[in-house]
Amino acid sequence: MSGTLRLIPPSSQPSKLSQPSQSTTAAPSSHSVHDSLRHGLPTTSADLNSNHPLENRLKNWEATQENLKMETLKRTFGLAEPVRRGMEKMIVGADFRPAVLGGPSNLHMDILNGRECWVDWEDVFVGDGLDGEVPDFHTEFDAIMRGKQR
Amino acid sequence: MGGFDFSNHTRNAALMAAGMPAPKATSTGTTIVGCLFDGGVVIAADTRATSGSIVADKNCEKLHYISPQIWCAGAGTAADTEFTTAIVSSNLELHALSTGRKPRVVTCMTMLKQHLFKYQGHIGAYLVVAGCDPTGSHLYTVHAHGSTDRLPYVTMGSGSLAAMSVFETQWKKGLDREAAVKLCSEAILSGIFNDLGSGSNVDVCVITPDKATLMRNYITPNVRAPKELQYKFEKGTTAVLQEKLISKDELRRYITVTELDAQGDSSLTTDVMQVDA
Repeated sequence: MSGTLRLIPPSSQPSKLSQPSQSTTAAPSSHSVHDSLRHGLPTTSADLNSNHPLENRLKNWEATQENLKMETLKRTFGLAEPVRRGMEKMIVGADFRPAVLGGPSNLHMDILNGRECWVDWEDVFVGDGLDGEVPDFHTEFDAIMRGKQR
Repeated sequence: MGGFDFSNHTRNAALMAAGMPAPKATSTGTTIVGCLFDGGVVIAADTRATSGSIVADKNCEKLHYISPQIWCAGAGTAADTEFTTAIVSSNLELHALSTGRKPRVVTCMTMLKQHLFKYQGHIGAYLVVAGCDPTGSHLYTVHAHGSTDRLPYVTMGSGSLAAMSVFETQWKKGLDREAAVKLCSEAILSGIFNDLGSGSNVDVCVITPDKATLMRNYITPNVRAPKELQYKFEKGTTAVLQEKLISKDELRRYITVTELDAQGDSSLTTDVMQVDA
């Protein structure tokens, strides 16, 4: 929680980049090295200059809405409320099922997110791109293990 | 990400910086209108689908079902109106099942505007939402950027000016059903004949608290006239120079042909090669 009441994601055109630029493109073995095999050659100019205004908005939409909700709850009921909800989500979200096998079908998470009676494009067209390509098992597991190491 | 792929954006930006012309924006053409009357609401649309200056479909359907008592007329990008109304229809049904109540038009309108606002106008859906719910009859317009209007009569699309002129001159307070249907179809006809992007037929949907009546091709003012002349050549116009008949028996010299009986099962022998005789 950032402590702001933003309704929509801010424009995230970066004005400066630090090397290594993206933690998401780091090699699984070494976090500070860009993984060129998986993500192509790193180009700082592309990172700086290519950002469709809509891209960031869509990517961070859910997170911004969630943050707004939690910040409102915090200001109304105190810190305990968003902390409790965060804990509940962590407990419920502990379930792991590889995305190649369809991902976790997590009804409880949907209920906590208030989405149990909601269907969206992302529920049908999975993955980031239009090809419906989901991360393979090893990439996904790498990410989990990397999170545990830190 | 919601049907959008940004992976080519860097490439496109680089190409445009190198002097490649930007793709032309396609102007879309449609006339859609809506009008409230005492005890219900009417929406109407033309049926021409254009792709640039080409008429892609002469009788397409621009009135979309959302729920039994809520219908939606769409202008703009055809695929976007179709998909947006379809997903809102699904979510409204889920919402109705969850609450156990009839969906409200204002709920549908809010879902649409929130969805469209999220995409900043990149989903080109311009909609007229109409319906009846326990709180009465409602009519809204939703623009692609997420702005909405609530008015007793509305028009949208490239023919909206022609259609609005009809409403502005002929609309009166407290219309009955017949008058509202007539006024809406007059407005669409005005769009059909005065706007190049609109054409063909008039579709009308009347929604009352009891039921919705879709009148597909309510008026067909542009029926294609039969051709006065026909240009098919008579048989025998071209002289036959040479004639060669190949009979079925001749084929049997090269392959084995099995005649099938009426039931389709032939007396099969394993070494017979079957060919369409």
